[in-house]
Amino acid sequence: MRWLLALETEKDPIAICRLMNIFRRKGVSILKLELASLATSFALSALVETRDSDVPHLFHFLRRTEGVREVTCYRDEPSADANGNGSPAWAAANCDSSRIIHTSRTAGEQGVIGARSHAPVESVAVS
Amino acid sequence: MAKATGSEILLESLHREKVEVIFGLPGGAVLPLYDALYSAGIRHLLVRHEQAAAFAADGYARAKGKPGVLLVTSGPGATNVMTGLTSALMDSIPVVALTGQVPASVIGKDAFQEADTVGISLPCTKQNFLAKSAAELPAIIHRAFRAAVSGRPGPVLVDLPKSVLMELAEASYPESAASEHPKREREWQDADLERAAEMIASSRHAVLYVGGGVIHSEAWDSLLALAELTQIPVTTTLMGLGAFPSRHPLSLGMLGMHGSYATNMAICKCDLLIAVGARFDDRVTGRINGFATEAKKIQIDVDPSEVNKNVAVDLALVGDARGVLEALIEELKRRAARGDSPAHAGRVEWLKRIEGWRAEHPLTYDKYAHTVKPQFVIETLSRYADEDAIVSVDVGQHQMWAAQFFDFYQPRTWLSSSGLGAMGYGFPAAMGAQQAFPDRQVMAVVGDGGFQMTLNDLATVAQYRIPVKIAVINNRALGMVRQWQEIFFEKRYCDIDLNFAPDFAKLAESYGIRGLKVEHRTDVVDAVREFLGDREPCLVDFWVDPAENVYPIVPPGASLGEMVVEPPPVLVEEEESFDDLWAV
Repeated sequence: MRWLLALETEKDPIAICRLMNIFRRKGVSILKLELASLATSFALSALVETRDSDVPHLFHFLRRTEGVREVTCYRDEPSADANGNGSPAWAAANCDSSRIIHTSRTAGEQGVIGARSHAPVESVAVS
Repeated sequence: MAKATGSEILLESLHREKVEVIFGLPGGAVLPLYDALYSAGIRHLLVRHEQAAAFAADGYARAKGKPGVLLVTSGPGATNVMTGLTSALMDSIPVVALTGQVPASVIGKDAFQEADTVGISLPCTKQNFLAKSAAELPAIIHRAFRAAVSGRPGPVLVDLPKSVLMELAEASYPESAASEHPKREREWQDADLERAAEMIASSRHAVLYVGGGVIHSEAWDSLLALAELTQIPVTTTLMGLGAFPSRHPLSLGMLGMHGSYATNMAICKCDLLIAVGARFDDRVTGRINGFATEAKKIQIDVDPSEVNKNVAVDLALVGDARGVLEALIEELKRRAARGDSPAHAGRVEWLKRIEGWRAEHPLTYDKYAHTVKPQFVIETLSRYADEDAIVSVDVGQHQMWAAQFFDFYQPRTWLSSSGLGAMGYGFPAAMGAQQAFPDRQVMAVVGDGGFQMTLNDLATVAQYRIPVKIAVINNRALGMVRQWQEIFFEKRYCDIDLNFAPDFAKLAESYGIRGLKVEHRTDVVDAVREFLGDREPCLVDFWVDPAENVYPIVPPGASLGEMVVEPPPVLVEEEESFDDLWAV
């Protein structure tokens, strides 16, 4: 299954190296990759291919990886341009919450939680 | 604010994290830190190999429930701890590794004793840091300790360039220790809990399958309360031993590849499997498509990525195990108050059925053999050990016999490199546990193969008079490998002979540690009484039957129900049973 992965990490190359190693070890096939340096974070967008059953595992594994801030998985729906060429859909996907499969973003932030995603993590301090 | 060196700031940060002991070995890159340690008031245990520092920190953490800390130098010092960190990662143990690094100006230029420690440790750690300034050390140490204990615990590495350790800076420290009150995660919903209670109430043949997560979460009291409320029997993984009392009527012991017949049959025939802090490891499940096929499954885990990873479950409650169990108990009590008791008549029949399996094929061994049976040694050690004794094992046949025949009454009394299976772990981990509890009995039960990997730290035991007890289950071979070659490779024994080895008792004596050797079955009981009779370090070399195999065994590719239960019976060779020897 092809799907789109968008995530942000803390602005430290260690976090990106850790991610790349995770992709390698988990057998994620990277078809397209974009990496951007933002003010306080790195942003990664990728078109990847994995088994269908691996998608939720990867989502949860990535969202609980130290250094990773936000993770969203989108359905891939490539759109053709005027010349009939397919193009990466993540630029559009970031604004298209209907394509969300899983997200660690809470409701109220950009996009909404998709039907199949988990509720945001709630931490309860215990003394 | 007065300035301090990076070394002083680092040690103050460790003080604030309530670090009591560091396991380490100095070298050039960390000389500034050791100079500050000279008067810092934190205990330091000098080991003889950095791998021992990592295993000792791990053993400390498992026993104490607090992060273990190690300190090593750059290059080979750092690379020598990677096995220990990988073991801690596999078993989710909080360890903070401080590694020296060459000065920042020469990183990446192949300096003397430089290694890409961050790069090498990426897959071996939960998180790692490279300090770039002395001023950021308090924040890094705080984050490191928090990462080590929060959520699913794990090892964290902080790489410390020598220039940072020497740099002067003003430091600002966090208000409280990161590791003192870790947040308990909760992602489950009330509706999930109600569904779990419903599934429990409607099950007739349930089993609680418990792993190390119950110990990490300190959920053992809740587990006991749940089991007794519902009368559901409890099986533990290798990591979960000690989470439930071995002698409790609801205890099933260990399941899986070397689990007991009754336990594995219970898994095969149960209609509800409740996994608490356990990850459906392959040593537990056997062939996945044959695992607990008649059961609905509930999985309780703090790590959402473990849900459905190996085995598909019907319901998942993601969160801290203790929080889930406490809430589940309350829900079940509410249902009971309405007349829907979770401990119904069906449970009694189920427990009787399990007892029947137990009677059919109990865990046993040849009680009349003339050789020293390793199982008898383990049972005798268990019989004479303190109830709160801490047992650290190495990896191999002795590990499985200890899991089968040692009785555990409390959590955090069983230390085992379970997921990675790192030989050499047992003895240094025991040293670490002894540092956590100087007044408790701590025993390393090790094989001759694993012991030879880390026995150089007998010097550490001697130097600090660490009262650890070392029982070597000596079959003069790599026993588990030999067993597999016997059963699965048609006895084509290859490279398993360890007959060329030192006399371990004499070796111990050469370090100034009392050493005993046992070669006859009638000497075992007296030797164990002497061995455990004081608070001095002692080693006993038990020469056991080299042909003994671990049973039951689930062959690779087989399901739990296809286990090989025991070998054919042998002729009676002695008049007295091993059981009779305890009465002497």
